[in-house]
This record gives sequence, C-alpha cells and structure tokens, in this order.
Amino acid sequence: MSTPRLVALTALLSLPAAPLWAQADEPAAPPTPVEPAVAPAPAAPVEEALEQDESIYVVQRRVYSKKGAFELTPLFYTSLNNKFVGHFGLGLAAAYHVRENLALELQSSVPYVGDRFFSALVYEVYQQEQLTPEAVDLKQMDYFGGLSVLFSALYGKMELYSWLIDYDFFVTAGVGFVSTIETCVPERGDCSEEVGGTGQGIGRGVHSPEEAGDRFKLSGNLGGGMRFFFSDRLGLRLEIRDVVYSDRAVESNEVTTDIRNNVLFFLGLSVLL
Amino acid sequence: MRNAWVTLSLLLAASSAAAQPPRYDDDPFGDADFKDAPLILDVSYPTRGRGQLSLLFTSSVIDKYTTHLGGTLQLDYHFTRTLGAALAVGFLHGQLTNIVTDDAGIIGNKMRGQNGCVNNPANCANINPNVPDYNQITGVIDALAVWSPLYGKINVVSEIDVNLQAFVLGGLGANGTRRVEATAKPNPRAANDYTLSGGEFFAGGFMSDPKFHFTIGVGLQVFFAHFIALRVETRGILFPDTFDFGAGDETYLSQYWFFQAGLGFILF
Repeated sequence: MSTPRLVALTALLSLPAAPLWAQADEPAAPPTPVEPAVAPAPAAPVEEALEQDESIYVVQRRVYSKKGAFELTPLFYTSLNNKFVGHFGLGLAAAYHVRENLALELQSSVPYVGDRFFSALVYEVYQQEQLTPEAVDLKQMDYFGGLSVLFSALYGKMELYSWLIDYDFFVTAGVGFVSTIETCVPERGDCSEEVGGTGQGIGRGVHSPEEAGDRFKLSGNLGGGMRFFFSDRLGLRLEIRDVVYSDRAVESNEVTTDIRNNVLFFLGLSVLL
Repeated sequence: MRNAWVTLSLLLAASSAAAQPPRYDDDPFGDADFKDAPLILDVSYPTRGRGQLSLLFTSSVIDKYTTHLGGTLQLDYHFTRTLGAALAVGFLHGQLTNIVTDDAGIIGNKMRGQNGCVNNPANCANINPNVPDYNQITGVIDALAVWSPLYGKINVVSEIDVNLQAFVLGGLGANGTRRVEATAKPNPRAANDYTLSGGEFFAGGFMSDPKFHFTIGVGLQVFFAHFIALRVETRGILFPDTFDFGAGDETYLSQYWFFQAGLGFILF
C-alpha cells in the first residue's frame, strides 16, 4: 500500500472515531432531578452511579441532622398506669447524638416540681370496703433520673395540611435511680397521729422512709417514642417510658415487696444545639 | 505494510472503545425516583373516598376491677382528605382482676376478714364488692367521626414505600353491661370458699343492661400493601353511671380504656 493510500485510509477510519472521542471528553449535561439530595454524579458512568446510589430512600432531604449535635429537651411527664399511685411533673433530658441514629441521654425529673397522688381505686376500696393496698403499693416515686441509649432507626415525613413535618421513631433503654416516699405510720418517725388530715395518704400523709435503702434504689428504663421536627432546631417529642425498680416497705413488722412499673408519658420540646 | 496494520489495529480498537461511551441515566433503577414528583408527596393510599374494613384485637388497659379482651369490627369511609365516619361493632369478655379475687382482695377480705363471712355467717348474704366501675362491658356499637390530618411516609427499608396515617376519633354509641355476682359456699372456711356467676363467656349476651356512651380515641395506621394496613389505637369508652358513695346514688363518669391492634382491609 502506498503512503498516500495509507494516509487516506487512516483519515477515513478516523472520521467516525473522532466525534465519539469528542463526546467522551465533553461532560454530559447533568440530570435535573426533583430530589437532588441523591442525584447521580453528573459525569459518572452507570456502574459508578449504581455504586454511589445503592440506597435510594423513600423519604429524602432530611430537614435536620442530629449527628454530633446536642439535644436539650424540657419535658412534661405524667404516669399512665395509675393503678394505685400516679405522678406528674417536669423533667429535663440532655442527649448527645453520636451518630444520626444513636444518642446517649441523661434524663432527670425536676425535684419538687409536680405532684404524686393516690388513684381513685385506693380511695374507693378504702371508703367503700375499708381496705388498703399493701404498703409497698402505696409508695410514691418522687424522683427519677438515668442514663439511656436512644436508637432511632426509622425516620420519615408527614404531611399536615400541606405542611411537611420530619419525624423519627426511637427506642430507649438505660439505667438510673429513683427515690420514693411512703405512707406514714401514725406516731412513727416524723409522723404524728394528726399528720396529713383527710385525703393524702388515706388520712396519714407521706414521708421519706426511715431506712435510706427503702428510699433510693437502682432502676431500669425502657421505652420508645417519636420526635417531630418543625425546623432544623426545634421539635416535639412524645415518649412512653417504663421506669422499673424493685421496692419494699415495712409496716407493722410486715415487709412487703414488689416490682414497680411506672409507665410514664413524656411530652417535650426538643432543641438541637 | 507492518506500520499500516498496526495503525489500522489501533484505530479499530479506538473505534470499538469509542462505540460505548459513558451513558448518563437519570433513572438508574427505573423507579422514577428522580423524574417524578418527590415520593413524599405521592399519597399512595388516598384518604378521600377510601372505604376500609378493620378487624381489631381489643384489650383493656389501666384496669381497676375488671379486665377485658375481645374484638372489634370497624367500617370506615372518608368523605374528604382528612374527615371520615366509621361504624364499629365490638364484643368483649370481662374478667375480675386480682384486686377483687385474690385471697387478700376485696372478696377475700369479705370472706376471711375479722368480721367476714367465715367468722360471722350473717355476713355471707352479700360478699359482692361495693365499688364503682365494677360492671363489665359486653357488646359495643359506635358511630364515629374520624379525623386523619397526618399522612406520611417512613424509611423502613430503602425504596419500600411504607405509608403512615395518624388519626383521632370520637363519637357516640351504646354498650351492654353485665355484673359478676359472688356467692359464699355453705359453711365457708377459707377466703376462696365462694363462687362467681355471671362471668362466663357470653353471659349477659351482647347488649343487656345497655348504657349510652362517648367514645374517644387516637391511633396510627401503617400501609404495607395496596389493600392492607396495620392499625393500632387506644380508645376510651365513657358513660354516666350511678353509685352510692355514701350519700345516696350519685352520677359519676365510668371510664374504660382499651388498646386495639389489628389489620385494616382497604375495600375501595
């Protein structure tokens, strides 16, 4: 083959290849996704896009990110299972979000804020049947606090009349301690015959147990709830938590024991710092 | 000549490579995630015009003297995006709690107490508890208004479109009641020497001694498929009743609270 023919053939073969090379060199126009949060890389081949976008979530564009953030939550709480005694009051929770779905939280009730009471059942059986529950059942929790782990694997969005609200579900478990008070025994300890008057304590009032061991005890807590975030800083928190501990009471030389389950409902205002 | 073949081979190789340039796909999974409206705005289970039949397991919570188990069948229809109505029919079986039946409970004390039936046979004539909220609920019929303002989605597993709907409900209805009677055995010697009657399954029927009540509730539905949803809710039945607290019969608000869970079948 002569040199001019070779050059001509080379030029001819190069013609179709040239635009293809040019196409490969020029960046493609990026797609215009509706949800750009997980849009494919503009200049990546399909295989690369598949690797990068292995998970495409139903709910995208989280309004808030918790990872590395502190969360402070003032709480109102009230007990739900008021079989013999009930509680309500204020609490405070401080959490550090180690990961987006994992947090460590310190929680405490605010001492002396709130109230404890006997349920209607206690008064009914006392007034109608002249009976009282066992002494340990009448003990009231006047403080609780603890350290918990919060795990929130599920998150989503809700629409409230065209207003999108981010939320997540969480479960929580931890340990802590509680303080309890007991009903008075007349003329024993700091209780006199006249203490209490009618009503509270079935006419006898309540006081701290003389034995400190009957007042403070270790507790476990287990619960779950939801957080609704209205902005990237503020949210509403709903939670149900069971504070469980072993309790005992001594009355008239009779010792009664029980595993106490205080199921508390919490309503709080979460602030991400 | 050799140079020509080398050049030709290189060019062919180049052409072959250039024949498959990178392609850019804005919908790599073919699920329209990037093309259409955000999925969060896609209401997969529209509320308006939806008819749903729910079968729910019912259990009472915060029990005082009676605990209940049963079931509820509910038909819902939504007229608008957030408002609907429902008809519910339920049947419950009640049992006395251990506050009543334990040896140290109410009846046990009436039996073996210092002035009880065992020590004083004259007091065996009536060992029934004298407390309010002692009636057991049997049948329940409700007409309800349902408000479902919250509709959303949740990431459970990526790309699985799980929808949620929260609702509150309230309405009026009627419920049957029954009363369990305790009777001391002849010549009682122990706290449990008594029999209970009226608490057998279906004793009292469905709607005997009916009471008109208010119903309130709050719940959540999770839609897993186009025809089925998981439904959980708490519901309270409140009705005025009378009891002698010591100054003659007084009217008070009797309250029974229930947890319900089950499946909802979307009919249309």
